Amino acid sequence: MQGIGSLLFFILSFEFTASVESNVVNLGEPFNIEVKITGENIKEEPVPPDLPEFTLSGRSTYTSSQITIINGKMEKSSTISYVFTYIPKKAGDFEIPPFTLNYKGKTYYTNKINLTVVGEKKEKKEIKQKGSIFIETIVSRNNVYEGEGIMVEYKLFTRRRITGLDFSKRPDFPNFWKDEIYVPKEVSFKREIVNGIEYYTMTLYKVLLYPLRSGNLTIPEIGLYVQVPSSDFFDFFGSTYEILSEEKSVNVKPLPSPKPEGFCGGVGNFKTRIYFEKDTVLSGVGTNLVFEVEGSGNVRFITPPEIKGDNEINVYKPEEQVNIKSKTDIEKGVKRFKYLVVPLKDGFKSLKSFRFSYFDPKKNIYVVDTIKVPQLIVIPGEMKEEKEIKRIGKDIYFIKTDFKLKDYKFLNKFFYALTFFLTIFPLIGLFYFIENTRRMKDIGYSRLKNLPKITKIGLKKLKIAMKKKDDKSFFDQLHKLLLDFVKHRYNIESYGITIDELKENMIKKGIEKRYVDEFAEILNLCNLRRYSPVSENADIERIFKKTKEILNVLS
Amino acid sequence: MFFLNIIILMNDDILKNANNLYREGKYEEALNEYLKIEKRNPYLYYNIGNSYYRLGKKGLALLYYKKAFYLNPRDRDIRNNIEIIEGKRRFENPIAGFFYSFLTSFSLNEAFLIFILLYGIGCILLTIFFIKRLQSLLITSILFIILSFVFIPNILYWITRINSNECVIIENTSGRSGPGENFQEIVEFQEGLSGKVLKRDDGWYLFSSGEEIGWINGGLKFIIEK
Repeated sequence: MQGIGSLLFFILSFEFTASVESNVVNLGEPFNIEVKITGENIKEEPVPPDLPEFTLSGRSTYTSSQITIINGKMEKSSTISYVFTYIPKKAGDFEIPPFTLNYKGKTYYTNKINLTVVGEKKEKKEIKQKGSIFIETIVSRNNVYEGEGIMVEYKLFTRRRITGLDFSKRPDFPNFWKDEIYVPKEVSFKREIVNGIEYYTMTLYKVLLYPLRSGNLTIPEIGLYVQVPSSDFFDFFGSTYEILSEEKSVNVKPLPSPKPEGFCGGVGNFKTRIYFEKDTVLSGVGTNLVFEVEGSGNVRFITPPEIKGDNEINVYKPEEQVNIKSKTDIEKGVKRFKYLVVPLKDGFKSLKSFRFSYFDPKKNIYVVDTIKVPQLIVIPGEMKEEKEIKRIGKDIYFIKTDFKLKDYKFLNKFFYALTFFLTIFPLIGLFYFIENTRRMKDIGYSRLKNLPKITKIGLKKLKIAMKKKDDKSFFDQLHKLLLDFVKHRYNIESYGITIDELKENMIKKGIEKRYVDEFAEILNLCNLRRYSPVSENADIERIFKKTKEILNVLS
Repeated sequence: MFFLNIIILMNDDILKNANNLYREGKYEEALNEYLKIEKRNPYLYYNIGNSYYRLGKKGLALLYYKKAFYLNPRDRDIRNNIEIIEGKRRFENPIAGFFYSFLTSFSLNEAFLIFILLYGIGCILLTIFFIKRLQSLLITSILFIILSFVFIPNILYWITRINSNECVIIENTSGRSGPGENFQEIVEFQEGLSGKVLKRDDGWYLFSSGEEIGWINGGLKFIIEK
């Protein structure tokens, strides 16, 4: 368990990274690659990759350590930084392969670093080195059509510790309609590696813009006061700088003209739906005609199409509802227009179909749809009065004339009796169930229960044999009866054992010796007479009587 | 048997005659005819109630409507006419309202017969299970028995009502603070008010309308006569 714990800790705390201060360097000028190893007691050293375009000019090491307490257990980890100083020999774009580290039989690799070596004074590209603190303006698209959205994000990048932040200039967008997506409420930085350089970043402002006109429009700058600690020990307040982002420009193309009939201002890709909230109405009573536009693009800026009424049906100005589901530079959502429609005459009414068109910037064309309005069924308004029931008075209902003069009796008296009576059945069943279960489990009990039956049948058979004067049959039956009796009465396995053993078992069961002897005597007699029959049978009746007596006593 | 048939025929004739008299507006004659039929029948009671109502005797009308309601609580006409006299029964608590409508949706006999049927089947199946030990019968029988228990509140509700000395005031009567003329009059009970008799004392009844109580001697009739 402890092993797993320390392995887990190792995985959590082990880090092996490489970074450069800037990924644009000048030819012939030395630059540093810093390789950091964080972990517990790692003594192995990183191995630099083979770099023929660079000369290794120096190497230095420094260490910092940290104590972590996890679940009351103290863990010590240290960070060792190896700084390799290289001098580039050639200009161009290079990819520095990972540094390697052999630790506990495994090989670890750092990230790759992209590096540009500039020969002459060339302008630096992409996230440029504007010192260790700068603001980058990230524009989602810089070539759009009128009515297409642009997401603009102002992001602060820093490699220095910052003790204070404040806006010095907030951007203003006079040529755009804007929707603020993100405004920071507190200072919180994220760690981010850009081109191998480690930065702390923070989004300062994120805004969704819709250009209001075409042309080359400027995304204005944002300004920030940044307080950084001073290197001077006695300077407690540090120093404050103002940093500004760069202005950016976007190209907004006008929509191609001529614009088609029924153009609603939509730029994107949309689907439409039209329906009446109620398709059957009374004349003079209104219902809503709903026209829905759903899709991605500038949903919120779609204007309602003109639906015309006539002298039989009035159409009023629509009510608008917008529901934006996802906010990106191409918004997704639904816009719903509800036109109040009031028919004045009854019948099947239909409104004229109308055109709805929008611009699809992907295909660079206008899409024109002809929207057919569904039919409205109008029923005469007078029905309203017919349907409505007005109560004008109160009276009792009329007598009943059609019924049979049956005499009703309350059955409450039977309730308890019948319920009780019905309950008896399952109770008897339950008793039987328990009894049966017991019998199944206890052979002795079961045998004892069958004793009277067996005795009765046995005696009956004896009587028959006696009447027939069948000596052999009589003693056979008697022998069987006696053994069965013992078996069922005392739960003794009476068959297949000698008479002496039987006697012994019976005495063990607590039967008086006197009776046991009598019992054994009859049994002996049976054995004798079964196999050596005597012609005279005068004593059969006496034996029968005696047997009956002894069985009575024992049962 | 023949004799019985004659009585039934006679009763049917009386009923027809009474209905015709009622139609013609001869309520008193109709009532006298109806009262000749000695049967416990909800519709007969209903017609008697109607005749009393037409004669302006709200108390007796309500009495007979209630008698009818006990025998057939689901009947719409009976319910309506009771509401005409008593006003609609309203429940502030919707759960109480739900229970009341459940309890009065079956008459005692209906609830009892459904209960006995379900309970009987359940008991017989359970007995067979105990004897034959068929596992599937156990669940079925218990389901039947549980289902039958749904109707027990219904039966107990009606048994309680039948035994509860429910009565209707049939003429305006003043209630006194004790069972005797020498006690002070404290409340006036109006004809057509229903309630319960809580105590009896030498021909005096302690009547409770639910809100007010007072001792009265006469002027009321029990829905179930004992």
